[in-house]
Amino acid sequence: MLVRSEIDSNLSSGPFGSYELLHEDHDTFLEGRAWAYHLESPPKTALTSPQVLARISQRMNHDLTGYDLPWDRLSPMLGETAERWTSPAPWLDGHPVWTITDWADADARQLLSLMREIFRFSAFDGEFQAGSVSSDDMAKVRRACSILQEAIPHISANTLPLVRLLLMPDTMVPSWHLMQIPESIGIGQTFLRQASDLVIAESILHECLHEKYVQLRLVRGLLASCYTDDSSPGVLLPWTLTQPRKRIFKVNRTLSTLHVYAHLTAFHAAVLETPELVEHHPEASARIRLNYERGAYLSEALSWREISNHLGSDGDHLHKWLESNALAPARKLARDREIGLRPYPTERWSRRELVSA
Amino acid sequence: MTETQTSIRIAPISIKGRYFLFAQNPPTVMMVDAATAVVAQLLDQPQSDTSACREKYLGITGRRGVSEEVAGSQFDAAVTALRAAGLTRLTDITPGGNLNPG
Repeated sequence: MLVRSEIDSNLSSGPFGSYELLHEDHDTFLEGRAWAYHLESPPKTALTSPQVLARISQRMNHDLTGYDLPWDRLSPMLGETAERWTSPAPWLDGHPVWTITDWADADARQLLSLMREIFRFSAFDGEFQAGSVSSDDMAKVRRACSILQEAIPHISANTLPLVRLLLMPDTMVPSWHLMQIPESIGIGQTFLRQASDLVIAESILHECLHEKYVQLRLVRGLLASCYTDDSSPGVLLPWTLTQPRKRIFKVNRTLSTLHVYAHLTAFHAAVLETPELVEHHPEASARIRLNYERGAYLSEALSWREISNHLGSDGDHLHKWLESNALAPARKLARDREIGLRPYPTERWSRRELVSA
Repeated sequence: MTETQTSIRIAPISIKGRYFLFAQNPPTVMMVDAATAVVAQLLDQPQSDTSACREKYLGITGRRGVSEEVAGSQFDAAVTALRAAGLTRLTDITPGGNLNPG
C-alpha cells in the first residue's frame, strides 16, 4: 500500500497538486486581470448551473492565454437560461458539476455550434451532434468516478473539481478538453458507451488534468518569461509516426502532456495496488505500460538542454516533481510486481531527429 | 489585494515571495518576486522618480541587512522587468514626476 498512498498524497499537495492553492491563486489572477483590462470579474462562487455557465462564458471571453481564436464567442448571458437545459452530472461528492441534457434549447445549441467550430478549426470533419444522454451514460460516468475515488482519492479531489461542466455529445471524438471553453471537458457518446469503466475513468482524469495545467500555466512560472510557441523547439512524439498525423509538440505542450501521462501512470499504479479494483488489474497493467512509456520519453526530452532552456523555474520544478512523485514510484511498483516498464524506445533516432528547431 | 493611489495592484500568490502585479495602463498581468513588488509600489507613489525610489529601496533593504550592492542589483532587475512589461510610466520618470519622452 506504500506506493499508492505516497503517490496519492504527494501528487495532491504543494504548489502543483493542491486544489486549494491553485484555485485561490487562479481566482486572484482572474479578479486582477479583469480589473486590469476593465472586464467583469467571473463569479467566484459557481455552484448552480447558471453561475457555472456565466463563469465559463466570462473566462472564455477574457482568457488572454494565447488561445484566442476569431470566432463568435459565447454570450455572457448564456448562464441566465442554463437551468432549462442542464442537470447535475455524476461527479465527486460535494462538488457540483453540470451536464447538458437538452441540446434543443437555443442557448445550448450556441454552445454546441461553438464546439463544432473549434473542432472544425482543429481539422476534425466528422459528425458532431447533440445526441441524448441516457441514464446508462450517467451511471457509467458515476462508476468511472468511483474508480478514481477508490484508487486516488486525494488526487481526484484536487483535480476533478476544477472542471464544472461535463459535455457528452454524439461524436466519434473520444474525449477532449478545449482551452477555448475553460473549466469544461467532453466525452463522446460512442466512446463512453464502448470503452471500459477503467478507460473512462482514465479519460476523465486525463481531461481534468488538462484544465489543471491550463490554470497552472496562468499562475505559475512554468515557461521562460520570453517563451512563445513560435520560438520554441519541437519534440517529436515518435509513436505518432505510425499514426495518420505525425505530431511535434512545442515545450509548453510537451510539459502539459508529461503532466497528463505522469498522472495517468500514477493512477494505474494506484489501481494495481487497490484490491477492491482487482477486476481492473489486467487492463491497468496494459494501460500503465502505454502511459509510462510516453511519460518517460517526454520527461527525458524535457531534460535535454535545448528543451529545458525554455522552461521557467516552476516548469523545471514541475518536471522534477512529476518525475519523482509519479514516474519513479511507478517504476518501483513495476519492479516489485515484475511489470516491465520502459520509456518509448528511441534508439533508432538521433537527437536531431527528435528535436526540431 | 493592495491597491495604491495610482493604478497598480499587488496580490500575493500562495508561493512564498511571489506576487501578481496588475496594472491598467497599459493593461498588465505579471508574476513578480518580492523585490519587484516593493520597487513597483515605490515607483507608483505620486511625485516619485527612479533615483529617489532607488534610494528609498536601498534604505528599506539596508534596514533588513541586505548589502547595498545586492539591493542595487535587485532594484535594477526590478526596473528592467517592469520596463520589459511595458510599465515605462513607472520606470522612466525624471525628477519632478514627468514622464520621460525618451
